[in-house]
Amino acid sequence: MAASLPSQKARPDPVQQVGATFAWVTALICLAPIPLVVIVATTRNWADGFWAGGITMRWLAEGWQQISPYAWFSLRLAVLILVLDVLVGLPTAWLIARYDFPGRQLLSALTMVPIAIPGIAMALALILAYPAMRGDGRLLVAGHLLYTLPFFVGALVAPLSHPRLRELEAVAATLGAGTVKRLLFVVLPQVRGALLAATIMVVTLSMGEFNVSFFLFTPSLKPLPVELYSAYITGRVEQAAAITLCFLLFVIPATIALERLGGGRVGQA
Amino acid sequence: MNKPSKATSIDFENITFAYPGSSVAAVTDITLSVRPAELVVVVGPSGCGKSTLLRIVAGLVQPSRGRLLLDGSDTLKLPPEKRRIGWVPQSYALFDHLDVSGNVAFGLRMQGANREQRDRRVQEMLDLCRISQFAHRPVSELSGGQRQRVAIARALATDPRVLLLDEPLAALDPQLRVALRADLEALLRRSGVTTLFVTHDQSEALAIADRVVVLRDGRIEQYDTPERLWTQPANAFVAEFVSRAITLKARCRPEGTVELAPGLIAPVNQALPSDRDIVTLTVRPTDLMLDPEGVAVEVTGCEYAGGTYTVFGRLATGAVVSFLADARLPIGERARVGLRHGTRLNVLDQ
Repeated sequence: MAASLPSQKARPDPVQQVGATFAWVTALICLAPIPLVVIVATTRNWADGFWAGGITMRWLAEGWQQISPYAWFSLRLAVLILVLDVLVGLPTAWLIARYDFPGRQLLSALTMVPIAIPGIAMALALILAYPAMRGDGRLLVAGHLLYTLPFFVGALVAPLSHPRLRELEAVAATLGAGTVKRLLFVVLPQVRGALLAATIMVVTLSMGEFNVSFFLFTPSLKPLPVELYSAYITGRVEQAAAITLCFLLFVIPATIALERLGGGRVGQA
Repeated sequence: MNKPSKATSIDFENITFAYPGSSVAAVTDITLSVRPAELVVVVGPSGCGKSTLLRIVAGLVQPSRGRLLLDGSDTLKLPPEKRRIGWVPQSYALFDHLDVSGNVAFGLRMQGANREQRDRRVQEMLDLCRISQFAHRPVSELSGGQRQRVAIARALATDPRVLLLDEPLAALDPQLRVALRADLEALLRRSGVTTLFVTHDQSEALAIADRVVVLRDGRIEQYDTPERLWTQPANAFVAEFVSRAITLKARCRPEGTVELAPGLIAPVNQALPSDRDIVTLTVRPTDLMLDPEGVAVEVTGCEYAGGTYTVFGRLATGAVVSFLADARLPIGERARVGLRHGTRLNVLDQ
């Protein structure tokens, strides 16, 4: 009769354990201020201590009233930037990933240059180069586009140039799929995760961008972070906390919704 | 499955191709004909141009010179999607965003087949390849053998004129390879499609091919039946690659025999050239055997070959031959070898 083997538990990988610990510690450090912001935003008078005099929703209501026009503007701006990123970034990423041409390395490097340039410097350069475009907001759009484009292109070049994707396309071609069908039925499903990661990056970067916006905004075209800054330096601390909370409540659900749209595949990109 | 209404012939005419930026051609001056419904295996060492040959037929690379005829019509100008070629790459390249049925139906969808046609054809292919039970399984959950079958079913579903298989067994472990080889051959015979099958394994080529193309450095060394490749290799490379034969010089004797070494006389499989005293021969390990009446050799090497040993021995002339033995022979020991009964050695130079 065969003796039963003692059950063996898989020994945890120490590298994985250290990695998981760091990930959790980092996440907690990042998330720790949020409960404090919630407490301050719902305290009647923070100078008397937290929740002194009871909980109030007044600051949140006032805060939302103050920032909502700017929040909707930022959202519209982010969507416009996303469309422009797709129109400009997708062909650029395709070109860099798929074609070997003189200057390919230079183009690839140029698309990454805005990451290395401080937002203030980029904004000032745009103002000096195209002063006439500032008034109608075109410069603001250009600044956001330049700021987000490297992230969009960078997220797509690697998956688009992956040999496996090229082999899948080759198989699809032999099965009768022309260029458009290969793009729709092979390339897009295969890079969906990367595309969604790029979309989330563009939307959140644009909505949270301050440096470029601060130099390029106009009174009628003011992004949310600029208004947040105004509120911080002029208003009460409770009000600043409340509009910070409004900002988070505005941005986080949008990010989660985008990730859910992608079937939670962003992490796989 | 219904066999294709008419199997297709393939003719390569002086096909030459070099990859961009490479000064060396991947394939050079390839000329060969594949008959309708024939199973031709392309074999050769790594980097010899086997896969490139398939990619040329599939339309994935464009040769710089030559013509490719399918049923007599020049096909090189057609893009891959218009050629009706089924290509199964070594990685199988299954679409992991689709399940098994979705993969098999992909080509039919691309070609505009309606739902009913698609479903019927997919079921036929799943049955043919014996993967019906996995129809709705994600491809990531399949074993290597199952993935291979899905890739072949997907390629056959569109009723291709030619099927191209690039090392379809390479990703499988050795035991499974042999088990699936006969199965795969039977499947290909049932489908009745003209097939080009690439492998680096000569035993695989000999086992399943109607004819074998032996490639080296992008050129055809020999294109022949497995039997003729074995018995009449065209040159030393083919002999060594296909049957591990050793090339030897031997002295011509009367009555169609040669002398490999003093006392070791062997008949040959064809008429000897009348104008030469010395000819080049190929001698396979199976041509010689231990023989107490034979000539002496000094054992220089001994390899276990699964149930038997391949022994290397130096003749008195200095030439090294190989032969099979039932037991391991120590290196340096002297043994006696003679010709196996019925053996006729192959003469290379005519």
